[in-house]
Amino acid sequence: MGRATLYVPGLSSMADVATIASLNILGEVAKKTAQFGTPLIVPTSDPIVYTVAREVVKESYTAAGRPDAFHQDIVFFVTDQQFAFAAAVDGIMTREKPATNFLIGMFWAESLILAETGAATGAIQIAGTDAIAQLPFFITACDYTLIGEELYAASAYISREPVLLGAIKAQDYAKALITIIIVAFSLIALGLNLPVLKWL
Amino acid sequence: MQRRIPLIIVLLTGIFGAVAFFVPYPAIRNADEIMRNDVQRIITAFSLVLGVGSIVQHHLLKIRRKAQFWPYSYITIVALVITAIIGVFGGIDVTRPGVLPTRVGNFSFHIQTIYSNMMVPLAATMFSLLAFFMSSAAYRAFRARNLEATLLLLAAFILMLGAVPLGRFIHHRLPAFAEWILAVPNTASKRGILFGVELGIFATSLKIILGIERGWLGGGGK
Amino acid sequence: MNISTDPWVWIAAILTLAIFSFLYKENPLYRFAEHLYVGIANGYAITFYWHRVLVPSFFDRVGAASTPIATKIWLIVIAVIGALYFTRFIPKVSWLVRIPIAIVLGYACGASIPRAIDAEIIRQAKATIITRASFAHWQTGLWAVIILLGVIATISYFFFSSERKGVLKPLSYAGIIFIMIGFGASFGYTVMARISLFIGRLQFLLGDWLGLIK
Repeated sequence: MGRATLYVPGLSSMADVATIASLNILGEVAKKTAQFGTPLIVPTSDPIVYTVAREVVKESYTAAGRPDAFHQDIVFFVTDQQFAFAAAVDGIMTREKPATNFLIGMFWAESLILAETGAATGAIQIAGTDAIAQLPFFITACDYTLIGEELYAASAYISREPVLLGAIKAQDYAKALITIIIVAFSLIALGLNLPVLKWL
Repeated sequence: MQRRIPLIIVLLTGIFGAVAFFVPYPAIRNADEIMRNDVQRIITAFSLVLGVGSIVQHHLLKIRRKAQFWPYSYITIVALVITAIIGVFGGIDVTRPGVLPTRVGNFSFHIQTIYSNMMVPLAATMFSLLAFFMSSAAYRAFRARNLEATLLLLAAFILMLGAVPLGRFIHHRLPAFAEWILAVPNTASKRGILFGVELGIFATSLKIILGIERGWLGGGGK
Repeated sequence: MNISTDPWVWIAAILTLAIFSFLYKENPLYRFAEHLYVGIANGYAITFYWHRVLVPSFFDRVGAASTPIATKIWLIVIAVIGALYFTRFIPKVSWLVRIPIAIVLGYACGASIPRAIDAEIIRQAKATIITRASFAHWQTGLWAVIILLGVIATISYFFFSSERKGVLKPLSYAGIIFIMIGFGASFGYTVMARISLFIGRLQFLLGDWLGLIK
């Protein structure tokens, strides 16, 4: 059994793509906790995310051959108010003392409140967000941080599905294309003084 | 059917969401407006029932199992019920009272009074904890002792000094240097990260609309 | 010293201290405030969604004689779709909960695609491209070149499908240096704002509550 694993899938709704990426990762984390019989705690701050997260975890426990270990109290809704949620999760972190905290998804100012409290309890912390303003805080307070698009890449990579993995390669090509366009357009603008900005 | 119908809906609403951005046709614009305001807001309002049901159930289970610190669960449930009754029946606008009186003598317990005197101070205090957590996070970075952490700390330190009079006292060009860090290397890194993030959002959205990415469906059904 | 006699100020002050007590350690006072906060927040959310969403956006419009019949039908359809969330409690038809989720999710994903390309990628690319106008002053031109190099270096750090060797190795290393300086700048920039929040709470405790300062 041992100490629990805490998984916070961010504070945003399903409309945020980061939340969906986070729920994909949650599915894999839940499979591992089911396999090893580790207690899992998933507090959510959006009712729809709560519903989906519950289904994802339930499916993972079934896939891991432990449907009996799933119980309705693993995933629960706390509140949609940002700091009330942070207060509750801080309370869970200090009382339950999870061995691992996953803070993956969309976060705002509460990111450091959660990450620092988790770090103070001695938990291994894995964070991931595409909220650029919050990344410095996760970087300083967490052991591992998925920076920006690494969150999406991890979500695809962890699924091991060829189509999803192929998308990572496609994104790399797109990034290469953006780099080429920026450099080429800059050279054209500087060398030939053409109105390149109007072309985009 | 249990998976196919939701996948078809995602495809149709996804195409609509993307097309509405580019099509200036009034009917499409109106439909987009309805989608953003009425549909999203009303559907979300219904979903709250699931959420509140979950938190109540979570605390009732704690009480039933006499879990650690279970008496505190009563506080959440009682506070939730009382606030909801006051709010729903007492009205949300001070100028438009509801059926429930929200004043005893000079003492008001209107929902906005509760909001201003309980929720706002609680939120502001939680927010202000960041002043302390930032110091401990900075100390953590200081202890890391690698080049990346040192650079982060150094840039943070220069920015902080640049914002206070002491910075100018140390060197008259320090505030300008702090501004330069914010405007040049900071902008560069943010932009670089943003390109990847937006491509990630684009790819994931496309995968969901096309039904390649189905994690959101959860388990069960065919 | 002019201590407040307003019971609400006392409540706010005690709750403020209860939250601050967490900095020492988790304790019964914090636990009380935390549970109370979650309860009130949910109660307020119910109030908000009832008075600010369901009543004005649905009940008032469905009940009003001036609302066109087509709009009324449309609103009732939306409400029925919303009510499908309750099917989660009925195992046989619980899959219907996916319908409102699919509508919200599909639309959000669709809307995010043009926003990602048009508003973000193209806008940021335009801002990064160097033109002759960037060199109106030698300094601004130099900064524009540094930004361009920084952007390329940062992008190269996020190439996942190829190994970091050859030109990609020093480039991605330069990328992480830019990233860390950028994160540090964001960190330092935010500190001052957070300290002012803390000062705000102190002003409340020492001013509004204890009356020690004006």
